[in-house]
Formats: sequence, structure tokens, C-alpha cells
Amino acid sequence: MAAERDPPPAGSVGHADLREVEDGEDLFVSTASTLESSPSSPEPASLPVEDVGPSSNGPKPAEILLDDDQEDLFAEATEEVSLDSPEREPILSDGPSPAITPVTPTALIAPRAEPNVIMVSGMFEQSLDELEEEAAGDSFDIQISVSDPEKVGDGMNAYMAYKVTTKTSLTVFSRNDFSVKRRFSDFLGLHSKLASKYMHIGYIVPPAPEKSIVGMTKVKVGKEDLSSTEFVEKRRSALERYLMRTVKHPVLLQDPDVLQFLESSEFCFKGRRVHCPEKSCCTYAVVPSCNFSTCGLPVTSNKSGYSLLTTFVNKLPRAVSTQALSGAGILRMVNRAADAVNRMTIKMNEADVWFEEKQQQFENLDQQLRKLHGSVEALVCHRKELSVNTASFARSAAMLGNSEDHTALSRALSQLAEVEEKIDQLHQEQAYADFYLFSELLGDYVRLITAVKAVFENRMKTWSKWQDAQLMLQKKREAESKLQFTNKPDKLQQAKDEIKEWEAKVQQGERDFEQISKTIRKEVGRFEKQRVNDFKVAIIKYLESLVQTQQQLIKYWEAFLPEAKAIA
Amino acid sequence: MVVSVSEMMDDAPEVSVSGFNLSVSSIKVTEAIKKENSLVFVVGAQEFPSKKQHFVDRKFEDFEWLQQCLLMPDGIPGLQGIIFPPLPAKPCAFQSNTQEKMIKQLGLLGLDDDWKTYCMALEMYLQLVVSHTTLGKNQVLRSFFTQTQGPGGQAGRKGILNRLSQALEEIKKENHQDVDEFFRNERASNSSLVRLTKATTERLIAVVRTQQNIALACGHFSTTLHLGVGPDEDPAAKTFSKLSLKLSEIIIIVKKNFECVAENNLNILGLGLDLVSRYEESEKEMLFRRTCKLVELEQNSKNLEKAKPAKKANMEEIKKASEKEFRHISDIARLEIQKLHRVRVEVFQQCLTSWCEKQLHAARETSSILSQHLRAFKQLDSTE
Repeated sequence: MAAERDPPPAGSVGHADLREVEDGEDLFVSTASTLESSPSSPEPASLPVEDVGPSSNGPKPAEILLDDDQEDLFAEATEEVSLDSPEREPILSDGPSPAITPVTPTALIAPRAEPNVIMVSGMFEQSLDELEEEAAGDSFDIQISVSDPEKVGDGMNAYMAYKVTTKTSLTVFSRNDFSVKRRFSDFLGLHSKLASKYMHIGYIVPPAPEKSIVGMTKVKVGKEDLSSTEFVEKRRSALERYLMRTVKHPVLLQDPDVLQFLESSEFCFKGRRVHCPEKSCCTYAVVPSCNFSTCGLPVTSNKSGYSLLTTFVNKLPRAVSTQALSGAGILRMVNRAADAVNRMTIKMNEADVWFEEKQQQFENLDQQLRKLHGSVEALVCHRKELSVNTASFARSAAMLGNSEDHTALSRALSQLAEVEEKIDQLHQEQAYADFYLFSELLGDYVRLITAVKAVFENRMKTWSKWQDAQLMLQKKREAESKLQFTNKPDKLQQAKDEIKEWEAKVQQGERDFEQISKTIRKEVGRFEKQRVNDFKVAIIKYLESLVQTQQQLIKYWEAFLPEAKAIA
Repeated sequence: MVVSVSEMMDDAPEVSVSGFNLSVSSIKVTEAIKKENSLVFVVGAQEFPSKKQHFVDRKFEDFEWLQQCLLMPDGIPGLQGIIFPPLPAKPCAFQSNTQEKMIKQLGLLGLDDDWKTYCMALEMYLQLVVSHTTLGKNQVLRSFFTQTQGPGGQAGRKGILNRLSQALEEIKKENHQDVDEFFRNERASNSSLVRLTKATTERLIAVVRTQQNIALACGHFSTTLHLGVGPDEDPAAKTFSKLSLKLSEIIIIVKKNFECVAENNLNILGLGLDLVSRYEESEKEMLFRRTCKLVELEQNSKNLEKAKPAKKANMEEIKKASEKEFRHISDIARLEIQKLHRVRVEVFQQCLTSWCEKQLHAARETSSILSQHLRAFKQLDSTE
């Protein structure tokens, strides 16, 4: 019964506790043994990802006390998020658990033709490998669109709900064409989960779009002007790109959180019966899905959403002051601080030159992309200006035409005004093309590189952990040898046990390090391919838009020419 | 030059200035050279039928002198009724020139760093002067086009075309009720046209500036793309570099297109609008002169009525003289106004047609180059 077990806290990105990964692995080991004994099936071996996710769903529903979640929840405390999108869904010990319904049971495990030592992480990797192959085998056929932004609610509690439509022929989904409603904080929640599951073992998890207090406030307040429409459109597009990038990753695509996000209409939006693991009672959380129980705040059945919010905010004065930063922003900030410290302390003995070179390359790429982004932003800005000026010129020409006595000239000037207005439209469209095709793409990649860097950092941390384990083993051996000369048999035994323990940890550390190195290599390869492809596609689209603009211009000029000639 | 002045003027393409025949279309201001602290323009003209070429260096002061000589009343009745071809504004000392300053001083003509547009405006001015039935007969033109030594520096006498200060009385005079309906209407319409044309020109200036800025931004983007390309061993990085260079090429095409479009806007549409705008200002000044004369006439009439018998005859003389002058001015003015109306329409027709053709040509060219690139790129894509 899961209630007996008290699994360790799962971490979020960058807070990889030494303890936590280990314990997670202990989870594996026992899992593996359990699974080994289950009846095998003739189907090809693939460990369902969900079962081996080191930090969240266990093979059996397990409670996970999420200490670090407190911080995450704090981070989510912005006016927009209010109560939604927890980092973790409660995992229930009994009853139907909406949070973890595995969407499709993937293949069962076949017994490995492995010797006695249970190479757990190897198993993990192999299965993920195979997942990737499977995914590659399937022609990548999934199309996600984010559309129909809809304002829900009023005032500062309002939010935008987006329709997420998935069209696919992949077997991992139960239907071919389906859609759900999601809000921005749901996307952030999804990213958080994926990041905490995969980043520390070397997978590059695409970052979610950034929060914008200013932009969102305008929308909430109900300002129906151009800038808030643009903001919503920009966000909608960013969310779409984010989801597409996420599902393009063969491993992430199989993740139950992702599948649930895309498919489940129950996700996050309705209040439901929640079994509060702490209090061991049933409460009805009217507020959508936030399991305050796990952060220690009382959830009682009569509280309305608003008062819960107040309670929440009142208890967390710190959160208010961080409202200016988004959840992702806070994480990044904290991570950067931690990494800076790490960089100073971890001097890694880099055996593999490839990693050093790659890190340098990514640094260079980062710089280059930022510069390019700056250039494109300037271009977009000027184009918008041109549109404004052209419209202004058109108006002047129209007025001039109206004051003109000469009929033919008057008409020609009016026509001139119309042509200029149309050209203004073209300028606007072209500006949007510049923006979405390049500016946003470059921005996305700058953010992606941050994730890449994080993954490299994680490798260093894994190495460091391994080294620490070796040191510890050394110490234990020394302690043991000292004890040899004393007459304390039980202490000696304890020392020997500890040595065994640490030997295992050293081995594990080495395996982890090799694993993450291998994963990173693959991920970097994938990233590079993706990068090239994305830019190629962008350039082609851009060219097409340029050609189209010119052809439109040709039409306009051809129409205007006879008018000009006919003046006199 | 795009706008053909001689066609507009309905006059013979050659002008005779007391035995000195000049071919109007041959008049050119070819370039502006910066000498010491001032700008020198190279003015060329060809004699007809001898085909003898003249090239002289002229400073702006020389043009000013020319303009003032044209205005000096020297016995031509109704000279003040002429709408004088407008001279562009004086170029500022170019030591500390920013585009802002140039535009403030010169309007649209200040948008071109190379002074090409300005030269074209000067050229048009000379052609208009020379082809004017009355003004073209002025003796000074000969020395202007042939004498090596510039006549400038003799800008002593202030002609009647000075920027009249907007003193309160002047403004009152400006609004003085007219006796003639034709002129009343003309003054009203001129007043509104001056304002509107000027506004349109200013908006066009803003458009051209933004287009120039976009061209610069494109250049910057393209350079940044180039700089990011380095020696790569990695196949993915190599491909990425290739893509960057390709994009860089495309952006250069966009840049060139913008430069071309901006130039067309400036040198064809802009010049035309600028000329029309300044001509309307010139008309305004002429109308003002006539109104002043009207005021004078009315004053003289009043004086005559009030005059004591002893002075009556004298007053009568004065009144008759001013009446005659006023009539002359009005007659000439009527003709000039009608001519200006025609000229305006023709200027617009020519410059709008020519501008449209040029923009159409630019769009076609750019479209074809970009399509080529697109095709090539798609092929490359499918083979890789």
C-alpha cells in the first residue's frame, strides 16, 4: 500500500538533490524487480515512460510529498495564475485517480536477457531508445494548433482560455482529432513537470513561453486595443510553437503528462473530489485542481475560490513581491545563482573534448542569435513605422485630391491615396511575417539554448555527484580500516555495510554520468537537425511572403498607371 | 530629367536671349561639389544651333542673384503679376549637417545626402526661367550661363521677392477683400492648396525617411548574418552557415528594393510635389503683391477724393498710374494663373505616370529575382 511508503521529495530543475535522485533510483530497483517477476509478453520490450519517470509517477500509484513544490507554487503566485496549475497532480492512493490515468498502456516489459545485476538506468535508457525508434518508425504525423483565445471571467481574476486541437494518426492517442481548453498556466505547469522529469538526465525540454504581467493585465482589464490583440496573438502563436516542439521530441511525446495535457478534458478545469493525503479525508475542492493540501494550506469544503486565494496570498507575503517575475523567471534566476556557484566550485576534469567544444559552440550561437534577434526587431519596428507613415501620406493625398478642381487630377489623386492605403496594408502584413518568421523563431532558440546550457550543467552536477560518492567511499574505507584494529565487531560490520552502500553509489554515479553524456550527445544531434530545419522552413516561408508582396504591388501599380496617364 | 519643362511651358525648346540661343533641354546642373565651406554647382548649357557647350561653376548666391535680377522692375509692365519659378531654399552650412537639419532647411530636397535631388530642383528652376516668355528674355541669363566668374556677391539690392515679414499689417493686407471674383476664388483656393500640398510633401518625407531606415536595418541584419558564419566542421553547423548566407543575400535584395523605391519616391514623386508646392507659394506671393497694389490703389483713390483742389491733379496722376499698373498686373496675373493651373496638372500627370512606371518596374524586377531565389532554394531543399 502506497501509504506506507514515504518517498522523498521530487525536485524541480536545478534543485537536484543528491538524495532525491538516489531514492528515485531505489524506486527503480524495486520496480524493476517487481516487474521482472510479472508475466512477460511477447511484444517488443518497452518500458512505459511513466513507470520509470524518476521523480513522479511510480509504477504503482505512490504518494509523493512535494516539498520543493512549495517553491514552485510560490513561483506560480501571480495574479494570473492564482490557483491553477500545480506542479504536481495529487497522486491518490485509492479510487480513480484522474491525474495519472495512463492514456494508453504501452507494451509490457519483456524479461531482459541481462545477468543478475539489474542495470536499472540502462534499462531506462534502452527503453527510451526504443521509444525513440518506435516514434521514428511512425511517420511523424501530429499537428497541434492553438486557437480561439477566449476571455474567461472578469477583472483581475480573468484569464484567457485557448483551444488546443490535435490532429494525428499516431497510435499513442486514442482519437485522431480532438481538442481541449487550456489556459496559459496549464502550459507552464506542463513544462515544469517535463523539466523536472527529464532535464536532469540530459533531455533538452523546450521552454514554455514567457509570462508577461503587463501584457496580460491589459487583456484582463478589458482593453480591446491593438496592442492587447497583438499580445494575445503573439502568445497564441508562441504556445502553438511550444507544443509542436514538445511533441516533436520522441521521448516527450510519450510522456503521460503530455498526452493528458493534449487529450484530457478533465484536466485542470473542473473542481473534483480530492483525497487529501495529509488529512486522510475527502474534501471537495471547488477551486480547479489546485491541491493546496500538499502545500500545507487547509482545504475545507466550504471555501470559495476567492477566499482560498486570499488565504493563499496572505500566507505567502514573499510570493507577492515576486509577482513581477514569472514562475519560469524565478526558477531561472535561482538556477543561475546556483549554477554560478557550481561553476566556481565544480572544476570538471573533462575527459571528453566533444563536450567542451559543444559548450563553446553553444555559447557562440547564443551570442549570434541574440544579435540577429536585435537586428530583426529593429527591422520589424521600422516596418511598423512605415505602415503608419504610409497611411498618413494616403490621407494627405486624399485631402489634396478633394480640394482639386481639375476632375481627372482629382480622381488620380484619390486613386493615389487608395493605392497608398493598400500598400500600407501590405507593409503591415510584411511586418508580421518578419516578426513571426524570424523574430519569434530567434527568440525561441535563444530560450532553447538556455535549456541546452542547463542540460550541460546537469551533466557537470552528475559528474560532481559521482566524484563525491567516490570521496565518500574512500572515507568509508579509511574508517573501516581504522576500525579493523579496534575491537568493535558491530561497528566494523556497519562500516563494511556502508562501504558496500557507497560502492553501489559510486557505480550508480558512473552509470548516471555515462548515461547523461550519451543522452546529451543524442539530444544535441537532434537539436542541431531541428535548428537547421526550422530555419530552412522559415527562410522559405519568408521568401514566399516577399514574393507575394511584390506581386501584389505589381497589381496595384498596374491598376494605377492608366489613371495617372489619364490625367491630361 | 523626368518632368519635361519645355513641354509643360508650351514654348519652343530653344530660347532666344538677344541673339543667344539656348536649348532648354540641354540645361543641366550636373553635380554639387563641396569646395571649402560652400557648395558649388556645375551648370551646363548648350547653344543652339551652334551646339557650343558652356560649363560654369555657380554657387547658390549666384542663383539668388539671378533671381533678384529677374525681379528688378525695369520697365516691364505688370512684372509683379508674374508667378516666378521658385528657387529652392538655401543649403545650410554643411559642416554640422544632420539629416534633421537638412530637412528643416530644405524640405524634401534635404533627404538626399548626395545632393542629387537638390541639383535636379535647381536644374528645373533654370529651365523654367529660361523658357518663360518674359523672364527668358532677360539679359542676365547670358552672363549667368557663360561667364566663368560667378556674378554672386553683388546681391545688394533686395528684390521684391524677399520673404516679406509677416507683420500685422501684412497679414491684414493679405486678407484684404478683392474686387474681382476670379481673384477672390483663386486666392482662397491657393491658400488651401498651399497648406495641403505642403502637408502631403511632409508626409512623403516621413515615408521616404522610414524607407531609408529600413534599407539600413536590412543592411545591418545582413551583415550580422555574415559575421556569424565561421569555419565549421560540423555538418549541421555547415548547413546552418549556408542558410545564413542565403538569407543574407535575400535581405540584400530587400534592401536594394527599398533603396530603389525610396529613390523613386524622392526623385520623381517628391520632386514633383515639391515643385508644385513651391510654385503655389510663389503664386501666393504674387497674389500678395497684387493685393498690396490693390490696397495702394484704393488708398490713392481715397486720397484723391480727400485731396484739396490744388493737389487734385497730382493725386489724379498718381491714382491713374497705380490703376494702370494694377490693371497690368492683374492681366499678367490672370494669364500666369491659368498657365500655372495647366502646369500643375501636367506636372502631376507626368510625375505620377513616371513614378508609377518606375515603381512597377522595380516591383517586377524584385519579384522575378526573389522568385528565382525561391525556386533555387526549394530545389536545394528537396535534394538535401
